[in-house]
Amino acid sequence: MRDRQRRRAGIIAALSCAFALAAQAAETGYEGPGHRMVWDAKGMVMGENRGDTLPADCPAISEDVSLEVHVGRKYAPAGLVFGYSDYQWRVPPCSRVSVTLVNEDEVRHMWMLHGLPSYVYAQGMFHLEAEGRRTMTGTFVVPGDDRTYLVHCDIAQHTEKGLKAQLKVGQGSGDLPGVPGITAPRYTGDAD
Amino acid sequence: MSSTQSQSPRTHRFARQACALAVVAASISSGAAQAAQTAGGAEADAHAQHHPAAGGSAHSDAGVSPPQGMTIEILEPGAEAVFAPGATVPVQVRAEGMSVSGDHWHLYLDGELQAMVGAGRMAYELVLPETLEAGEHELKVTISNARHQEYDLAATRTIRVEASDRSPSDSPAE
Repeated sequence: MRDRQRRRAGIIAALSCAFALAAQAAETGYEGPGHRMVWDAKGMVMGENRGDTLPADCPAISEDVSLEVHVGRKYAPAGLVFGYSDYQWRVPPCSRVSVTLVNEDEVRHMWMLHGLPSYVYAQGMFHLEAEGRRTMTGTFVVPGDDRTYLVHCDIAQHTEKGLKAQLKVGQGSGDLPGVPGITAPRYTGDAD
Repeated sequence: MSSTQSQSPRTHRFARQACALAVVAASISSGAAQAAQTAGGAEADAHAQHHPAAGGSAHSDAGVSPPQGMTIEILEPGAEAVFAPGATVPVQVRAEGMSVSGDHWHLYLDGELQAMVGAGRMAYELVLPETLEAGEHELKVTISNARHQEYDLAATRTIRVEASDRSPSDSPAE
């Protein structure tokens, strides 16, 4: 009987603990480094950093780089559906990079870069998105080490259909697989 | 060893396990709450993005108290500035107390959300709809946190829209 009461008390304590912790967690709501966003009818920028916060290994911005990237079906390499006007860009370490994405299609496209330091960029991403026939510009600061970053369009099947590219900071850290015109895709299925 | 003595540690172990489960549950609940907020925000963004006219105050129905010292004012356009339908209106604001990474400002035209501007940008070029009727129209700016909850503060500015053949002298009507 006493054991049953203890078991019941344990359950009540556990449930109280759960409710208290859940309520506390819901109230805390840590927001991370923030989305650093711009949005309007033309598209969206997320993870914009015009130099207010530098990556930890950058004492200063080394230089400004402007990239103009066109995207659309007319740039698609043979056998693919969509394409970027370029598939690789090189920028100096610690440079401030402004990307202008010119979307020549009627559908939405992105220039999304992964792998940036997550203490500056939410989820380590810089995200540039342009609605059909629209142009958007956004800016970010790259870290100081040699590294190759993935750039792609995150809309379903757009990466697979041709929108995968790479940004090399400094010497880069090699080539990513499956970048049209640069590397062959890496298939992970049966080798037969 | 009595039955009570032998079962007591088991009961405690059960309570510890239950509490551990509770912590996991709380963690999941927290993640779910954040995910719901994130997803909610993303969904609201996506909704507003695909249906800009539905923007309005969809991101936040009730404001939250602003941090001490937070302010926003419209520097441009000037009061009663005149523009043609379809013209580009340079909007310049001055804000204090905003977090560069999370806070941002929302721009409304006649109560309809036109843009969300963050990352330290204090200027925005608003393209007026070609169909905007002649007369007075209200620009409003508010400051929002990263969850798109607007703080209880706003600045407004009235502009005039006139047909382009009546070009004003003090504004960049097109």
